[in-house]
Amino acid sequence: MFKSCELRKVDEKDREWQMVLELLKGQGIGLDPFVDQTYSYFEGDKLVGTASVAGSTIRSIAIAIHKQGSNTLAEMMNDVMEILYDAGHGNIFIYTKPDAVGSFQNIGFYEVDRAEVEHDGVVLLERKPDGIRNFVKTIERLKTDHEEIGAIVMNANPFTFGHQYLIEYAAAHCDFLYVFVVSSEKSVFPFDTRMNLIKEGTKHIENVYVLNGGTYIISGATFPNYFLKAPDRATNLQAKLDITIFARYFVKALNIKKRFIGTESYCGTTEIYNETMKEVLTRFDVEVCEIPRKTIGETPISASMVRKLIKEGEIEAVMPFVPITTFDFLMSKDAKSIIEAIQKSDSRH
Amino acid sequence: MEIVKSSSAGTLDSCDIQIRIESNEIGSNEIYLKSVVEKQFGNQIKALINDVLDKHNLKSVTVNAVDRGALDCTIRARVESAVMRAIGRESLEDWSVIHHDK
Amino acid sequence: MLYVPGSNPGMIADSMIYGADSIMFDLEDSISLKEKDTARHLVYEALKYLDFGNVELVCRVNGLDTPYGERDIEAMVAAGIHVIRLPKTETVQDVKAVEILIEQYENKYGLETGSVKMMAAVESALGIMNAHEIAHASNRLVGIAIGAEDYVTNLKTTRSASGIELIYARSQLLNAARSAGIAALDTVFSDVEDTANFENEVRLIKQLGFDGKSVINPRQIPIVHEIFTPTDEEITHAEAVIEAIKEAEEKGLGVISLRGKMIDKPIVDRAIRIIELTKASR
Repeated sequence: MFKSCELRKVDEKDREWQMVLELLKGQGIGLDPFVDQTYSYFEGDKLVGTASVAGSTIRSIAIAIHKQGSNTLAEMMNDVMEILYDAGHGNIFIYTKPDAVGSFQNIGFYEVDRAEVEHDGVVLLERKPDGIRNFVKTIERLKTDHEEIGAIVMNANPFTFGHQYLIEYAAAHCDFLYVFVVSSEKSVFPFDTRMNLIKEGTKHIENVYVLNGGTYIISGATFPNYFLKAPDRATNLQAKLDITIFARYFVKALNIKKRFIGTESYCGTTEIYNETMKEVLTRFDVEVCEIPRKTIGETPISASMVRKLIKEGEIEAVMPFVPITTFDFLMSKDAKSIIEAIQKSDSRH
Repeated sequence: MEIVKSSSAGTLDSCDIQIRIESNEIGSNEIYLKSVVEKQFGNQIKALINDVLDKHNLKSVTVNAVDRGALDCTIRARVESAVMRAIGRESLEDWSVIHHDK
Repeated sequence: MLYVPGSNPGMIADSMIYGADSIMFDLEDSISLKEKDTARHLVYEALKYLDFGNVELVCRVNGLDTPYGERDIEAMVAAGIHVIRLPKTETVQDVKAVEILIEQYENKYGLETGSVKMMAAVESALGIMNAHEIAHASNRLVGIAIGAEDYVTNLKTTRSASGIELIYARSQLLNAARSAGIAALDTVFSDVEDTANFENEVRLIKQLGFDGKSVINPRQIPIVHEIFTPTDEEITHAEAVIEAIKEAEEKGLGVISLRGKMIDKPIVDRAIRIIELTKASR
């Protein structure tokens, strides 16, 4: 008489882990490497579904073939959404393939945007029916009358001389510059801290406005990489989706004419991202300006290098690479837990 | 009545309806509905939801409803529950305020 | 009596189609703490707006020692429930406390005082020892029931197929009910697949004298009905007894006999009960 299926947490240590991977593989879906938690959905001892969550997104969703078309997807998603709502997320997002969009629309998700490359595609759906439109309304209030308006998206995990240089350079090459801070990803420096350090470190530049990128801006570093067949194409698709959202909603709302990006050398993902950006934004009449990375001697400054030094316990050695505001923060007691987290973690982020 | 937090009630099981209520800034109520019987009963379901919102004097909320074939009484119960959760109340002070004509 | 979890709209909507004599909507043990509020609303609306026909409608509310008990009672009285079932009744005071609240809410919602009945579920050794006082504690009580799962745990044993561990409690409860002139209801049998042992248990409690059995799955209803419905032989005999009494009354005879056997009052009472049961199960 009671509900027969049960949602359970799984990880590599569990016996069920292999079953979950096989279910995903059977449907041509890979397990997204950036998930916070993977769930299995069991009916008795039979695995009938799986889903993973990362922040406010649900990813790598699969339902056993014999349960497709039944109510299983709805029931599983119901339980997953409850977890996300209980965790305080106001909106819930899904990345999926175009042919699965209908099933998610049936259970109350709304399409934000989609990107297609050849026969592959990725779609972002959200639970709030008016989510993206409302977000656009809030940023429209920040519109200015300047001519040449520029934008930068950054994570600044944490804020370095590299970021500062990028903002200074960009601000000098347009009338007004919006700096969008990525909020939706897992960075070791919390959003508020990253935002504050950017504001502190750019106080001397007048035509800059630092704002929360909200849930609709993602940086190139955290793409779900979940289509097994062609990982490069997945990155390409995801980049295309992200930039299309930026172009369709942000560019229009704030009359952005230039997007500034830093050149990246160490990460292939970022390279694909930047190439895709040029391709998409040009179509929306936005100029993409690549700015060479600031170096000290031969070494380009990057946030990952700063985190590496922190991880190795050489906190004072970061001094040449970060503004004094960031350095003071690292020395303060507020930074203690973050430093500990970096030293314990194995993650690149 | 003021919404103090976004809230949900109900499930996506068959014969149920899932309701999500949030405050909005447009000064009127908006109802988004997905239903397996949208063509035949869409307007009736929206009217039921509006009726409950009116009874609680809610004037600026967005309701995202996903109907899986719920009966009228289930729809009312789920909206009631979501409203109570959204306005931060444990229970009604007087159940007769939600009496409707049969 | 069919148990229906108050949190499941599909089961609530279907609950009237299985032919149960009474339906018990549960707000207590089958409902998680997170869904206590939504279940209360679902059952309230269902009671107000669904047509359950002539079925007796019961609601198992949460205990008054929880934050939900009083709110459940208010909502159920406002919805016009027939019977409020108290869980885990142990003392007369437990019954009185609920009675006071029911009366208060009958007044608030303009119902006639005494219109909402009560049923007490006894689920512990203390409750069984106090069964007699509990059964007599209120005029609103229409029955008492035993909840065996909690009771056997309290006794430090488990349930068995023979039900030996429940013999004392069942007998005590039954005598308490009969002494107060109210109904006695037996506990649930949770293994829906095990029909053989379910049948044995229903036969046992019928023989003990119980008025009915609680079921958790509609599939169990026909089995209870079959066992509780009098056989054709019993019906024919009962009808003959009634006929004989009528005849004797018409003729003004003091001593009544049927096929050479004397018919006394207990036999007449039993015949009347069989006729009533037959009507009820048709």
